[in-house]
Amino acid sequence: MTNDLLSLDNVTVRFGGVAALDKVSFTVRGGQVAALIGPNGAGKTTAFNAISRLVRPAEGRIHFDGKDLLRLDAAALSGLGIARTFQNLALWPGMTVLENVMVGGHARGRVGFVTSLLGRPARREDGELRARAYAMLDWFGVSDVAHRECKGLPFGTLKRVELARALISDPTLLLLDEPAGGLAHGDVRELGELLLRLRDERDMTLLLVEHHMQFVMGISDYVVALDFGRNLVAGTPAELRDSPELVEAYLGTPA
Amino acid sequence: MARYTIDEGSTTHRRLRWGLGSLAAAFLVVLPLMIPSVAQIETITQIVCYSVAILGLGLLTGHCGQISLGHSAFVGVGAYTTIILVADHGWPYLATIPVSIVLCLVAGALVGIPALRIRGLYLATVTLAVAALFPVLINQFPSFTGGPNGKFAAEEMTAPDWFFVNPYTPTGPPTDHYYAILVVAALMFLIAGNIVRSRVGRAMHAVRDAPLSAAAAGVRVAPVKIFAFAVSAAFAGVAGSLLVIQVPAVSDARFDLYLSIFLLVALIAGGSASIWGAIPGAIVFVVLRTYIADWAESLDLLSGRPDGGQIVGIMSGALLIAFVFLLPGGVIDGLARLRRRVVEIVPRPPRDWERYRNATPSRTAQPAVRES
Ligand SMILES: Nc1ncnc2c1ncn2[C@@H]1O[C@H](COP(=O)(O)OP(=O)(O)O)[C@@H](O)[C@H]1O
Repeated sequence: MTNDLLSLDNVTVRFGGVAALDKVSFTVRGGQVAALIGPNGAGKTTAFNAISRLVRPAEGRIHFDGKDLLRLDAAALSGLGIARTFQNLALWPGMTVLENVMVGGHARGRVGFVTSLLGRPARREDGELRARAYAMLDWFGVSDVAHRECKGLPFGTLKRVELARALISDPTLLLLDEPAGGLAHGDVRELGELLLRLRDERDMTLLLVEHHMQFVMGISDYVVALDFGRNLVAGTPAELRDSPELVEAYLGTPA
Repeated sequence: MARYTIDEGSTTHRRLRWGLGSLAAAFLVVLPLMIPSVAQIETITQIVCYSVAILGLGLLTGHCGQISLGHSAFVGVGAYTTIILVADHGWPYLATIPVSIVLCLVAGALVGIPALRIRGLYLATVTLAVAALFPVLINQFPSFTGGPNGKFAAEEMTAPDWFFVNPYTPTGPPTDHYYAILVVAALMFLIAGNIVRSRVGRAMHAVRDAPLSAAAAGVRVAPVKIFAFAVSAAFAGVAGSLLVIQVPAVSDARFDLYLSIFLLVALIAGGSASIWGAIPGAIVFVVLRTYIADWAESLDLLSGRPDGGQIVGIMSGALLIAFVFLLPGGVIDGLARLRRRVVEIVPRPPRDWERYRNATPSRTAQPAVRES
């Protein structure tokens, strides 16, 4: 596959006077694991938020599968096949784990405002979604907390719940903001295996923001490095491994 | 630890639910027949009416996280709709309810528009303005609404001849009203339960807990909020119509800001996480408004002062604070905790979930991430 699934073209995002992203461009091909890297404050999360339409770029264009994302709103993306996780988790604390995952499948549901008043359509529709959500939780090994509220559950559990919520919509593009953050060493390796399986067995395209260098270089097909909101370098892990720009960005210029 | 445990969805659980449900229904049906006093039947009917208003407010505030101090106006719209159609146009009482619903859906949706931009205290202020405006509007159009004199229907609602309650006893007419109102209210609880359990209800909960991630998960936040406002207002409108079915008289003073505040206090006291909190909430509401007000008026200290409302206001404020600290989930949550001490309902995995094992990310049934 060589098609460009996601492309950012000269995207600029400003917060007040500060340009968090300054003419950033990159493309992610279908079936790739791509990673956004860069020092803190480089604009990685902002790029994610621009793609998922949570911040509005001042300039530039973002296309997904031939569609202009900037013409759509955040809620439309799930239906297009884009799902994401958040760095600090964005689950709904007052709902059960199972319900959290079910909301991830919201875009595929058909019960609307009027049919919600009747009991039967919702019961019929939810039967399958609930079972699928539970199966997903079971696969992640967290089905024992399916009926608990998210409030108060351990971070590692919630991380998997959030991944399950993103996967339930069966996305083509999965955006993961620091998936390895807060995970223990062994878990990081297993997470990497999972992500590769999603790519290989499910034809999913992944874009991740990640600080864990070894992890990124180990699983990515393509790496985009940002610094101060600008494109720094991009290429395969092998190409970037000894990039002087990257070393300089992370370690600073020797004085 | 609970004394008994029951599997959710098991035969025992189903039987228990059916049994308790039928028992509650039977209790509600025979209740007025066991009470000889007109005043007490009327009090119970009031509780049923207000439970519908509190239920509606709960859908908006408890389930969708949007505050409203404007619900007195929606109750008022429902009440005036019914009284005007009945008194001036000769409509049957029950037929006015759909009109109240439509008008309040529209009014609620309009009031919900600011909620797309603002929340919390700001939203409270905007909706407060709606509550303040309503009595003013009523007095602006006296030919239509009766203005400050109020409005009355010449005849109250009567039951058809075949109905089993004898209308020629003193308790006959209030008992008829009670049954009519109870049936409508039961329907409203059914609808509210359906909404809350549906995809739309989950979307409302997600909007309440974190609107940004709701949008990222594909929930269209704006329509969900507008829907919540519209439906919530419609419930309040139905409550207004029911109040007029019970007593066919309205006046502007009945639908002032106080009503909104009491509804909110009652919602919190009853508990807003479950729709059933509206029932203890309505009991608290009516007790505060009726009994405490009467009691306050009978106090020597306050004798001669016509308005017991002040002390009721103070007491409901105190009650609110007490609940926030002592029983933050409201009465219904307290009852649920008590129940859990006796029986624990153990949730079961969804039916047939194993069938979807293959649809999960990989065929290897092996967790990818272990506990960190
Ligand atoms: N909502 C916001 N408001 C103001 N400034 C922001 C906001 N989000 C990010 N920024 C700024 O944009 C820059 C890029 O941040 P971010 O995208 O979070 O970087 P990274 O994810 O690479 O660490 C930082 O300087 C940050 O302070």
